[in-house]
Amino acid sequence: MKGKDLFDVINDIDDKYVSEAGEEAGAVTSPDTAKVPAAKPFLRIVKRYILPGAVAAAALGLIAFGIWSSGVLGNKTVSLDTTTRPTNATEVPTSSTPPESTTLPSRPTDDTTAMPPTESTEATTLPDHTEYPSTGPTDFHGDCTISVSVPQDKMVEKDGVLVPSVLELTITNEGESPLYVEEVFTLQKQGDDGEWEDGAVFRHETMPFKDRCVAAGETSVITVGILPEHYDLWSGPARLVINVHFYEPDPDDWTKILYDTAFYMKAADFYL
Amino acid sequence: MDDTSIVKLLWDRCEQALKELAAKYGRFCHKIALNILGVSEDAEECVNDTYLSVWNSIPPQRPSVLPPYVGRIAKNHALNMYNKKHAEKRGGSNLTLVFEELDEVIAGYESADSALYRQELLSVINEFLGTLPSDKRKIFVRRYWYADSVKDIAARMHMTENNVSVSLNRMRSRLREILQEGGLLS
Repeated sequence: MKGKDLFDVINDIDDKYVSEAGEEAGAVTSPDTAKVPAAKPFLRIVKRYILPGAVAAAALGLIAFGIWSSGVLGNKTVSLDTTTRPTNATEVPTSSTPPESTTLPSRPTDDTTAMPPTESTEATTLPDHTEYPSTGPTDFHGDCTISVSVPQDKMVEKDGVLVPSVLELTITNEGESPLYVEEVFTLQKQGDDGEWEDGAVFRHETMPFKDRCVAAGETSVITVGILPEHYDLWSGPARLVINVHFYEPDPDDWTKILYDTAFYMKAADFYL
Repeated sequence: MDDTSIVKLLWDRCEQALKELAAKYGRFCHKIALNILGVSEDAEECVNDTYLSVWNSIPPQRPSVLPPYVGRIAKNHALNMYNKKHAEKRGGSNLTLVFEELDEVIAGYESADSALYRQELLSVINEFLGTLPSDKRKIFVRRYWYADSVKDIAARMHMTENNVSVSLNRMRSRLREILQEGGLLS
């Protein structure tokens, strides 16, 4: 059984729960003028087929013009950049020599002031993928150091590009009280409009509370496996957002979030 | 028009019923289909198919509560279309993320996929939902029934996306524990 099957089962939950969750939507209970936005057939065809085609044609034209104007096409003289770029996989640092971690001073526990996931990184500063892995800026609660690395033998080649099959998140609690950690790795893709959208979500296996605790003065390493079917998502503009929540579990109410903050590890860290 | 009157019109085979249905539940169905398909035009097709299915199923059906009935039909049409379009593709869509999240709950378990097992599973999930506080239950159902994005849920519930993600994560973990305790996961 897979998630999709479970989704199918959930489809049959009690009607009262479906109604309850739909109540505040303003759709079920406030039907006024709530009509399906139906485009006319011609308009629909224009929107669906003609417009995308026109956009694609325009894009191709721009690309062709760009190539022509750069001198690759036509009779212009071309000056090639012959700088050699290393692409040997063995140059990828290993996890035994973790990238330099950054310890930032304690900050107020405002989860929204952490590095926002939508913060863009200029494409021109993309590192060659052999510089991988790197550790980006961190922002956290308390005295804590976080770094992310990929074991050398866990880099795999996919369509000529090295991609990680495993990520290791190392959390060192330098404070005096325990940290409870819950983390989510999200691979985001950049759309044509420049917006970052979630492409895949990686998590470690579900762990009991006690295993999520990083005791004072201790280091915890959390390993996250990436499914092969997600390897190709790393091609093109992609970034990994690492969202770590620190919290204190309430023994009387497991759904309650007593304290929560988060940080994001920015795109530049995991550009490939 | 209230739901009982719409159902009565359907039973009377009066086409006005479809207009009333569209006026009252058109946007509701469209949102469900759009969450799954991500393309407005495809969602429109599903909504039209939904009207036809409702017309064909009432009578003989006489649903006591119309929104879940209509919503389920819309969802099934959307899922059928999704399956057709994604038979060979994976990754990227909102629904794929939902499936992946639910994979965590059921990870590593291979079932016989029998109707009896599904019925037991459904019973446990209903019980689990009954134990949740109302706001948490809404988050769960919005995500795993309506397939809403985390962003939409956060806006609806006036919460941060982080908090929604944490809540969902915990509810999935808790559900998995309950399934294990009940012997439904090996």
